[in-house]
Amino acid sequence: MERIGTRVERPVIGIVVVSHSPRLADAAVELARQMVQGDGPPMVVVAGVDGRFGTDAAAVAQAIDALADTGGVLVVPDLGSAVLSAEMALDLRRSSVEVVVGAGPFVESLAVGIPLAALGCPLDTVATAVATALSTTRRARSFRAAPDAVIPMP
Amino acid sequence: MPSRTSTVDTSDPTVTPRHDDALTGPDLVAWIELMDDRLVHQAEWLTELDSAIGDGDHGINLARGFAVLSERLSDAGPTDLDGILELCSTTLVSTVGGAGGALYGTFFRRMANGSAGYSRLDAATLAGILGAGVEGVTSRGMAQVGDKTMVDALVPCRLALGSAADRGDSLSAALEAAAAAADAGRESTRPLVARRGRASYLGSRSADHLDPGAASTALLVRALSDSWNASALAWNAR
Repeated sequence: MERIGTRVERPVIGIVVVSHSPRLADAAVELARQMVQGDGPPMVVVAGVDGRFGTDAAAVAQAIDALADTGGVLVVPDLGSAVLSAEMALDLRRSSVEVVVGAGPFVESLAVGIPLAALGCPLDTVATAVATALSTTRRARSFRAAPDAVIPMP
Repeated sequence: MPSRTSTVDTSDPTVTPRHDDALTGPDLVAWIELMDDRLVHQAEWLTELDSAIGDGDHGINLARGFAVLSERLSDAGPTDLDGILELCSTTLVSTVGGAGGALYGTFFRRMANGSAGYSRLDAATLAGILGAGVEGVTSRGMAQVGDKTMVDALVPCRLALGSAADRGDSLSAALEAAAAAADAGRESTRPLVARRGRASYLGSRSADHLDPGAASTALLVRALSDSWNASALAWNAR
């Protein structure tokens, strides 16, 4: 009979940060790293295009491939077009490492994702935590917008 | 039903027909070069449109992308259809940035995949391949007609091209129909409230503006039609 509960060594997951701006990405990562002792998980920041605001799907694909030997890759995009670049990168990458494009807001995703990854949590756990990262803030602010709420415009 | 018209004089066996009513590699290069030329003048207009409801960089980003692309294509670039279209994709992805880079990158990549193995694209084949590109854009952007995006120009364009091919129209007529449909699609975005992209953050304030993505898409289709017609005219005038 096999022993139950044997600890399986699993490599820490990697994180690819996809932002329109290197300064935005670096500051958000620095903020999140406050909660991590030591180096934290393997990370690659992909930010800007040619010194302008923008995201480059090919660079995101290279970043994913650079983390191919981790236990999976979480991609954290900032605005919507970063999500498009992240999704296109899934077509362009050459490695077969498991990848999830995070569904949470940028700052909260990093603040939740980096510490959990550093603790050795598996990709699906971190991805779930990231996808619900905003709920903590919303609870604190007692914000209860209906899913189809119309935001009044001035 | 009208027969398919052709600009080729097949009675002269010494002439290697270039215009057998189908696009080849050099026609795609001519298309990109014309788009690059036009963007030099139209970038400012696109940027104006984008400043009204977006981040104001669509024109300059696209002009930069097509300038690099045009240079790479003329500088001993690929000559096969899928190689050219793939280079369009990789170049635009890495030079345009933002939604434009990812969406035009996806558009050209899916067209490249669809054209693998073809050495020429007649109206019917082009309609199928363009359809693959449009499908790539709609699924990547999760956008539908009416969302005030480039899809509002792409979908009518694809439908017009498909109908023209079914009627047996010449490639020239089919491309003109496609360009007219894309222009009409661009105009259709004016009253719409944006439901995708950063313009959607503006809510109802995004109405009464043309969508910059639909505008650049219409320019791209118009450039294809015009570059093909210029090339066909030159061939006929020999």
